[in-house]
Amino acid sequence: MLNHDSPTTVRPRWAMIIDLNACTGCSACAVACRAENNIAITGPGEAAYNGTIQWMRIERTWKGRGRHFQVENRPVNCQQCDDAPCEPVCPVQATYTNAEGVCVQVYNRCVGTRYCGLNCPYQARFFNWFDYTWPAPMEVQLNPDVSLRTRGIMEKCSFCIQRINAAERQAEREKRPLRVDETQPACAQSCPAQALLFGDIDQPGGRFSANWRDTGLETLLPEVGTQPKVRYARRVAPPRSVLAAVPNSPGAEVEA
Amino acid sequence: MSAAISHPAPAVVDEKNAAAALLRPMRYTSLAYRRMTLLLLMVIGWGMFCFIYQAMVGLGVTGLRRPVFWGFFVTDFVFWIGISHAGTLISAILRLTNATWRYPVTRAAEAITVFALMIGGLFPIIHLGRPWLFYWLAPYPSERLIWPNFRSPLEWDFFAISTYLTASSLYLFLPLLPDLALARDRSRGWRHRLYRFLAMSWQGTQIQWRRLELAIQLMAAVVIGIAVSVHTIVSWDFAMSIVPSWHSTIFGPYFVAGAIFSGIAALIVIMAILRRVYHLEDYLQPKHFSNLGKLLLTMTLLWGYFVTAEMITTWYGNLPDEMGTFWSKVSGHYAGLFWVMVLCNFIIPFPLLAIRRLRTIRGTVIASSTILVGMWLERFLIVVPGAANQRLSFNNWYGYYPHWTEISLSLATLCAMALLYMLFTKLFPIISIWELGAAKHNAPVSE
Amino acid sequence: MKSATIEVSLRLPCEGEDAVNLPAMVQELRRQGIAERRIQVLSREPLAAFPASHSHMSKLGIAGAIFGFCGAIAGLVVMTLDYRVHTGGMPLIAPFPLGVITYEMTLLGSILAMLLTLFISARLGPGRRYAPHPELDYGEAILSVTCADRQQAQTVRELLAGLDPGPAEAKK
Repeated sequence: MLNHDSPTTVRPRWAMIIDLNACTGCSACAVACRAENNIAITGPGEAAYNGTIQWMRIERTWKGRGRHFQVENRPVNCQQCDDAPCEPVCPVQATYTNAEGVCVQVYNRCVGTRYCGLNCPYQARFFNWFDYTWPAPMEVQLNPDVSLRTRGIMEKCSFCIQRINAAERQAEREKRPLRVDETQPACAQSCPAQALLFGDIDQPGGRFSANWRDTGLETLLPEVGTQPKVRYARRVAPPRSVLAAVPNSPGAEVEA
Repeated sequence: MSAAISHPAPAVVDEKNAAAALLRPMRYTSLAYRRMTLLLLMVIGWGMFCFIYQAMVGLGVTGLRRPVFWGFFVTDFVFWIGISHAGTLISAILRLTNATWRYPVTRAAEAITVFALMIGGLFPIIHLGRPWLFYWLAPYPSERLIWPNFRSPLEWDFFAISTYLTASSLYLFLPLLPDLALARDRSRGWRHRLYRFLAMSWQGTQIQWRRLELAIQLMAAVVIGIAVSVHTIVSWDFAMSIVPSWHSTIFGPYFVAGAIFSGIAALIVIMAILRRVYHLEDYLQPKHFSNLGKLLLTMTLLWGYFVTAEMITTWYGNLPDEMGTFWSKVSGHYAGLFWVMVLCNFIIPFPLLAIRRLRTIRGTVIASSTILVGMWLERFLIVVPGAANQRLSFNNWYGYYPHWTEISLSLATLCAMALLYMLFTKLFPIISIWELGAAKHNAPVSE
Repeated sequence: MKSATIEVSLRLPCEGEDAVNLPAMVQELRRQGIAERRIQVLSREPLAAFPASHSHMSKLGIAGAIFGFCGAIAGLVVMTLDYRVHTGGMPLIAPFPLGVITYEMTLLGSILAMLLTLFISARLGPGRRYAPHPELDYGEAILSVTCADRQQAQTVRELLAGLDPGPAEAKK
């Protein structure tokens, strides 16, 4: 997986910027992630009991009332922390930050103490409570590049590491450095509003690395000191006139 | 312990009769005992079925869901490790302070330690997602060049608990040696062969006695160091995480105090049962319950102090992350359990133990029983509300309720503990015979 | 040959003050030229008349602790150097966990060293040869002398008979 003889001497450091202004909360990212990463469908019973697995999820928060009502859709995946609290607590080292800055989960090594899940301040880790099956004909569309997870292990967003690896192998075969924007995870690829930007922080002169250093970006729970590699472009409130123009604003329901 | 010294050792006991009386439970087995064993075995069998079912189907059969990844099993783990502090720690302290009333108490306490540790040590395995791979937590040279992660508090648990189990087993075994030799000399058949092996060819030469007494004394000192570290490390499973309300510096001493608290309570309850079932009224006298009751009173006050210190710091700091847990306990979803815990751990036992007239066998047993319930609730209220109240408010989830597998396994392990203890009383004298004899002869020395 | 040895023993009551005479009897036997290792006083409870003898147990316990401490550190360091586990730049061991594990191993080393000292110095162990005295009861002691041959056994029997007013028992 980690090819240290790669022609790229400087290894990329993958990161994501999520633009909350662009996000419409359509959940295309969550669906794409599910399809790409063979995420189990746990069913309505489990969903009612907090038993769903969503590597990428949309967290919806409501602010204000009536005319000041605002809804914020925040896509939350594994924040790929530089200083990940989930890693040191695993007794079998089933999770670690790889050479490209991705916090990876080693399914074969995981014994399922679930300590990492508790120590993740973003609750981005999910446990396989059962051996999940895919109702026919969904099993034929499983992604062959991603292993299926058995019961009793943790799983989480991997920044679509299978795609990164494929792109790196391709670049290696062609004996060239990895091109800008050659790979992106399924969520970023499928976002219709292009709210998810994926790239290499260390890419010299790249558009992504320039954006990454924008001081307007925020991280989730900065006070925990995890140094996430997912940053959010803060939502700027739409003018009131825009809100007033929307008939039957959902704020009315909340207020009732 | 000054009160203890004023009470000399039970001088009424003639040790020749004592040997016969204390070996009696090993010789005769009543019908009630057999029925009880059968009942316990049935519950344990049901628990084994539940465990296999849970391992085959997945941990989804429990009530655990994100973010409450830890629930009943971790509560049971902390509780049983706490109970295990009965023995070794209490008996070691009583030995080191040379409390002469300790003789009928120590063996019962040391046996609790060993069995509670065995039961407690099961829970980290039961709660694993893939329990059949539990040995991956052990540091053994693997051909895949993989090692466990020594930075994980769960790995420290592995070292702490295995050390404690070794030490407390030895600490049970060494004072048992002379009694094993007695049992060897007074038995025939398979029992004789068993005791001959276990007695390690003990003869009772004076050099053996001197060395044994020295070894017990020295080990008592070391075992206290281990016992304190074990529950501190168990508390660090929580304190080393960044979960709000778990990440607390007070957890080490708080857990150790709680462990000794529940340990003494367990000891009193088990002593009362032994006294009743095996007719040990001459040996386990009201003054033993009263003395242990005084210790328990101290621990009640200490527990109250720790809980107050923990809660008031959280409340005064008023950090939003921690207040979620705080209010869920004090007036929210878990308030019922929280106030029952306060009732069981402080309000009921305090008067029962503080008023001398109430500090009888009955009084201390009632206080100890409520304390055992209260301490289990305390562990539950540390584990679950903390996990349920996470930093990101949209992940709070109060939906955790134990399912039948968790309840069954908790009950089955309780029965396993009872069965192990019952078998122990059938195989080994539950009261140290030689120490009673030595107490009689050496009473002037220690007074 | 050990099987050829003959044990001559004297069973006598030693409640409380009686036991004080026992060390004197042992001294007398020693004066008569019987080696110390051949004389044993057996009892069901420790006899206060015999003073605590010097033991290296505490020193060996400390040595065991040092061994456990060094062993834990050496094991963890060798592990880290020998096995290149990919941990994403984090150390395989860090000072604090090293301290926790080393603490446990130190105390374990100490306990095992003391156990070993006890077993060796008190001649304990499964399957060791011992002379059974099932008749020994509480409040009694047995003064037992292991003799090399019949002649010595006879001498010891006479000696014991002279030392004690009670009846001497001899057994193989």
